[in-house]
Amino acid sequence: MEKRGIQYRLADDGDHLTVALEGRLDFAAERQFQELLADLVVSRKRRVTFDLSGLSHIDSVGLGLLYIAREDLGKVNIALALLRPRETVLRMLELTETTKIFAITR
Amino acid sequence: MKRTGGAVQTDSALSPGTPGIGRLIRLPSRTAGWLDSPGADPGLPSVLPPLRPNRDSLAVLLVEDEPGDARLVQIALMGCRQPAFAVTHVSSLTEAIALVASGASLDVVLLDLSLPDSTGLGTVARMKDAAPRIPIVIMTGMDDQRLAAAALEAGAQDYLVKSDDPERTVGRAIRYAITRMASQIERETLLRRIAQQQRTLMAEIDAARAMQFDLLPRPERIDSRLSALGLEVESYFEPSLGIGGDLWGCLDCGGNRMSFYSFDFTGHGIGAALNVFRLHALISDRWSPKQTPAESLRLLGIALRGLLGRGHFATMFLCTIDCVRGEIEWASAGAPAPLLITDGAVRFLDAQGVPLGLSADPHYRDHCEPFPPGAALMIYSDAITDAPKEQGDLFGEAGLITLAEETIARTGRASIADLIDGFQSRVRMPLEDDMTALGIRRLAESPP
Repeated sequence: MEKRGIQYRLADDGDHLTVALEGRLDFAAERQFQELLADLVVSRKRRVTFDLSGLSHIDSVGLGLLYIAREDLGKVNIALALLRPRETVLRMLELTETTKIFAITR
Repeated sequence: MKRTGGAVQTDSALSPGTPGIGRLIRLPSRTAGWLDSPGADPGLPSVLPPLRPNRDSLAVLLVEDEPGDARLVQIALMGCRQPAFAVTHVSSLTEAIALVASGASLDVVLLDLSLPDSTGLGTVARMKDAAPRIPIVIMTGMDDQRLAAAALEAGAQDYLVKSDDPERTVGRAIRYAITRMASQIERETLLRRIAQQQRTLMAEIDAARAMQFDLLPRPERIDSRLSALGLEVESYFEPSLGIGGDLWGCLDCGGNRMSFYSFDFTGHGIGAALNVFRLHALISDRWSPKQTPAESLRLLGIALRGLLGRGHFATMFLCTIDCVRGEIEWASAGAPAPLLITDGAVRFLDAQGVPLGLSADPHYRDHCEPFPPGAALMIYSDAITDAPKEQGDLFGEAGLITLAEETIARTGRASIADLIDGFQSRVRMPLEDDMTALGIRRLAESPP
């Protein structure tokens, strides 16, 4: 069975931080993601990119977390972008027109 | 209120005489927010029993028929202070039980196991029956570990070997027995309290669940309309935690038209269920048969926007079936793409759209497709596509369309009951999300 929650790796490139998310961004990952987000908010970066290529699934709670991240990072002037979502995750982002809100690089 | 030298002043803006700034004053809660009083078990002490060895004097009932042994114990206990022991001595179990029955206040029973009217472990059981909450220390003539263990099993709190030096051991054994009994009672009380809170909570959730099921359309209210329109509707609704964040419904447009919707809030459980009631009320208030589905979704999206917590939203599908024109018109706020089944072919409808509550200015598109007699629509929640299969990957849209095609090939139609059977045999049960599945079929020989 797939492991619960998400794992992530950080790649720091000056004022740009890339967060590679792995696993499932869903209700079981909520607390973990909120903790990550709290760290990102105080990171003093100018840009944060979530690399979604390792993300196998996102549910509605996970989608809500992306919107929360965008709002919280926006308040401290950090631009948020999404990178390389897999097919199933991209399907969810398209269905909910999240693709129109976020900068997504495929 | 402030008191200054006997005069009473108020600092509330609501009070006359204060130059007014309109404002809301929310008084803080005066409870911890959780009451276990409704239907409380009257047998439960509200405060846990004190650990009695802390008292200055403890009442001991000594049940011993050997006068010499009784004397030794009494002497040993007389020497104790902090606490002191007040000993009542009887020589038979019958007398001991009668004393307890008379209501005598006792802290501990010292019980010999070979009495004229009772011997062995049965003595412990009978004493226990007579006084279930008074700790018992048994006294044995020999150091028999097995008998001691069996006595503890039978409900005694401790045991003493008479040949040991009673002055050294009896006071300690009594105090330990009382402490042990107090812990035991405390544990039992806590368990009963937890069980009772659980019962209260379950009853509350059952009541909420019944209210949620009451929101669903009922055959007796809509069957005459469905019959006139030649529509067969098959629904399945199963919240994962008793109550949940899904709902479906139908709205009568009058004439030849009927609208159907399904929505699903983020998360599940009580919070999501409360949002269900919100949106159901908003639909009753804002929906009109004169609006297109897209217009209705926009109004609902705007209304929900200010009500939901951060990161919360609802996906929703809303369609109107016109049985004379033979068309289905729909709009979607990011709902799972429904399946349209016409002439035995299955495909997904376009269901793109921003979920309700995520955008302050949402816009939706109306779509229209032929929906001739024999056509069917399957609307469902993402519990289906997000369900993990045994191998761990998700059932997905691919799993659903394959299942629908296989079901149609086998049975000639895609009934919701058959689809759910097939679905449940292919995924890992139980589901962790609320599940709704709704099938709407135009009967081949439609009356209108």
